[in-house]
Amino acid sequence: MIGDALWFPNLFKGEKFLWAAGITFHIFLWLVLLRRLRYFLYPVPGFVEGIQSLGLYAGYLIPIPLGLLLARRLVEEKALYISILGDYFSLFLLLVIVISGTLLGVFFRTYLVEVKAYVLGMIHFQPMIPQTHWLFGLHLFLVLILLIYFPFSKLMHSGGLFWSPTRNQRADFEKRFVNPWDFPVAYNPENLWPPQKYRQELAQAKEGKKE
Amino acid sequence: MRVAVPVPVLRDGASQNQRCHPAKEKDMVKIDLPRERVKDWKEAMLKKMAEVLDKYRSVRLFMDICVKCGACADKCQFFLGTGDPKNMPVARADLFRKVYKKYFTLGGKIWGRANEAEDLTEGILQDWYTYFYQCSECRRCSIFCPYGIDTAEITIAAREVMAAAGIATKYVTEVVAKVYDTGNNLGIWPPAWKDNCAFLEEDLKDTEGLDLKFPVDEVGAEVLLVPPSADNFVNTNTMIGYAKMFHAAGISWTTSTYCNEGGNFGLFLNYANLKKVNNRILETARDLKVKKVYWGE
Repeated sequence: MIGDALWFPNLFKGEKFLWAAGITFHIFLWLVLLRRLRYFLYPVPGFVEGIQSLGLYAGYLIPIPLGLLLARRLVEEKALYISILGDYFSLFLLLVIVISGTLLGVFFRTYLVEVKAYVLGMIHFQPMIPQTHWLFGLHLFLVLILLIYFPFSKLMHSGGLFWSPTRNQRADFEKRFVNPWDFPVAYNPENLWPPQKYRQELAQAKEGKKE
Repeated sequence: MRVAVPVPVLRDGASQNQRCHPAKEKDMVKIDLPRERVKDWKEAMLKKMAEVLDKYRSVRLFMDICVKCGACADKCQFFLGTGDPKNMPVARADLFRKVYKKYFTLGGKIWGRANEAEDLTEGILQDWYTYFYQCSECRRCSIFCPYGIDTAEITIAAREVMAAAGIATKYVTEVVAKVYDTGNNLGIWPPAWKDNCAFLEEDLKDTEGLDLKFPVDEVGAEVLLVPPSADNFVNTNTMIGYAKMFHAAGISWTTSTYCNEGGNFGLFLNYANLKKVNNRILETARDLKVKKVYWGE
């Protein structure tokens, strides 16, 4: 089941393109998220230092798989038919977040020491207002929206997997399963076997009398 | 060699006119369902739906966790054959999900259509009847779903809900009613079953010179054989094969005139009938005092 959650083999069987885009996106997302730990932890753990450059490039590249996922929803006829508002909303939200993040990193450099001071200030209940570009405000705001939206939406899909009965219940024919809501059934009196109309014929057949 | 089946172009409503014949009153009475669609069908269906969602953990979960990735869409033979978008397993489940969201989830009650929640209307009911009876419950989609969502479970639930309001198809109800009448899906009368067995005995003697018995209703045999009823009617070679096999193995066996059908059409209708049809095997086994049941379909 953990394998199912990590590299979605069922999807690989059915939809190679979606699987490739999906798994690239998730790997990039993990790298970016782990890289973000440096804003929240002091002192910064060694492995977070180690993936800094990896996470940086993942951050630059993450719009590509996201864009592909969105394009698939819009271009592929069957995906377009089944997509609902929530699907587009989460994809757009993520896209705006990663694009604004990339812009912040490349063009509107934010003074990271101030950001970290801001975040740590929030954590330790000593809030301060950082002097940053408005894009940073947007980025942070959308991330907070995402965090609120996350637990109530389909973005919880990895969690749902662990509850899926076809994943966590294995057929065990050695053990008897007793249905907890079992109820007795009775036949309609009209159908009590053998029906009157067959009785005579059945008796004849038993005695071997045939017409 | 694998042959890739091309994904058909979507044709909205391509198979919406290919509908099953509605059930007949005489069959509905025999299988303890309402004679016809009940007057307050909406309430009856919603009541049954609440019950089903409570009982079947799978249905409620499958309603909630689908992410609409579309991996199942081009795996359904009914979609590949018709190109009707509502035959994609995810869209088929959506027919149920719309109503589920409207009446059983907070999001659907608040957001309404924006969250794909819809009232249970006559139109939705017609869609249910059409498309939930265009699913053969083969479960192929569940193999490709990253979640293992099993659309057959949802089809079973939807048919159970419809049956509670007196909505079912002629084919399924007729077959189940026949099982209660004659003991098998084909409607072979008990005397005909006995006759057929006797005929096979004679036939085998004439053609192959073998003196084998086709016992019927023998109390105290070791094995109760519950074959598909067609084996004694059209695929008689299979029936002869059973007799030869039991003879070679030296096992005493018997068939029953009360229950000689391995297939269970209750699965396509509702749980109570599923149980009743299966129960017959148990009753027969106890009546005939057999040690084992060999049961095939």
